[in-house]
Amino acid sequence: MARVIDDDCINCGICEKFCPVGAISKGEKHMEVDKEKCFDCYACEIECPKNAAYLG
Amino acid sequence: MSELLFTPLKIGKKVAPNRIVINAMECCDALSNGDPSPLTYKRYEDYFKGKAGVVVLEAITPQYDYIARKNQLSIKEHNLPALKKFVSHLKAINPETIFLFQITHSGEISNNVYSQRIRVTEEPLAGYEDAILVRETEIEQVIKDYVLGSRYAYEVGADGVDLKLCHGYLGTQILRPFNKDNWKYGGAWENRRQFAVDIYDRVRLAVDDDNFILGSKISMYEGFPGGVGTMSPDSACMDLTESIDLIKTLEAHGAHYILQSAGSPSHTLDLAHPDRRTPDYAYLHFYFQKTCRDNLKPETVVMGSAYSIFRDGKQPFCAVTPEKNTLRFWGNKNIKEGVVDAVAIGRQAFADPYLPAKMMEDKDQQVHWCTLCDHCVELLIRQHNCGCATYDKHYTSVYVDMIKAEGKLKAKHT
Repeated sequence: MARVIDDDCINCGICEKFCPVGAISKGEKHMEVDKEKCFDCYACEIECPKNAAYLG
Repeated sequence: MSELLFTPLKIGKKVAPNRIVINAMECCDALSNGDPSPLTYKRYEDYFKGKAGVVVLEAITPQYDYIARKNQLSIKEHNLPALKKFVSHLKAINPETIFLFQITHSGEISNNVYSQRIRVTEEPLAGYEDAILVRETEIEQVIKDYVLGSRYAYEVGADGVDLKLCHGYLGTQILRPFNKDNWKYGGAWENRRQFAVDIYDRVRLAVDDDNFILGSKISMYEGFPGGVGTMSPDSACMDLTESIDLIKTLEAHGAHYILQSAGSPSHTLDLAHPDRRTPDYAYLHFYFQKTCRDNLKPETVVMGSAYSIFRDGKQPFCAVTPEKNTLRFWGNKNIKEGVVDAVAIGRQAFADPYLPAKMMEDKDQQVHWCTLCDHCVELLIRQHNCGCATYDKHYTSVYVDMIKAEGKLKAKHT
């Protein structure tokens, strides 16, 4: 299980800042989650202003 | 007028500087002889620097035969020098914070690998068939251990003791309707209740000092058939008659406070620690707190649990606006309206032990709000050093290494 970030992402980078394991980075269209690194802490999901991060 | 959360609170003859309580949270990091380790020191130093009104020391055991955690703190004669130094060190950091020791016996949820589970009914509770049956002789020793542990807590400088009667540990086992056999502490409610009465009366005799605080954390309703707060040994229907009588009885026998909780991390985890999937369970706790408040004398303090979930309002609750659903909002409102006298946090204390100081200084934006990921609970279940895996890099590594070595947890209960 890991988070995903969808097309509602506005590339604000808040999720990257809050991720404790460095699992989030800028992708081609929007922020992306490295599913191998994500450890389901919910930080990105809680902090995302657009509700674009959630359990995939 | 000062914000209610940060007004002083009289507990017995002592005064807590504010109304934020750090719940007892076991962390599996004591030294092999049960003394506090450097990790234990770091955790409590942070709580005391963070200016909590009350800190409840994680469950500390006065015996070694029935324990739930491998690296649990213990309070036996050989621990006294280290505990005295520990308390003195913390009080030097912050002399105002009230420090209570939670004395425990793990009963049927003792670890079945390196310890022994015990039960008090011929019929075991489902899932605890490996527990051995005990009766008066063994329970008499348990009471002696509680009393001696409390005496030791007094000698090392604790402000008081929390005589643990919650969360599925032995005290709860004896109190619940499922303890249905007819024996000294079983069957009729008066028998089951007598266990707590005997402990209180004997602790007060052993510590003849009115300044020493007595109280208990209790589960008002355990949430499974025959659990505390149910109608009968095989009913799950909530009936708080016995729970209400318990708190009034404890008050009559010297309790200065009741620390309200519900559920059991071993049986009904979400009821004990409302989860992101079940945040609304936290509102049930308000009802339990109000029930305690309405049935106790004004001077008997009610501390309420399950406040971590509210954080800064960013949680998946429905039918409420985030700004009217924060820890600060509910803490102040519930104190003002006579629901509770103080609010207790557990997981949030791992996420940010400095929360009380930050909130007092209106620095809520700097608080590391608990994400309710429950990785700390998973660390506890698997007997690793516990802390916040989201905000503390040390515990992030501990958690990641644990998952690599052991895989995902299959059953989330202690």
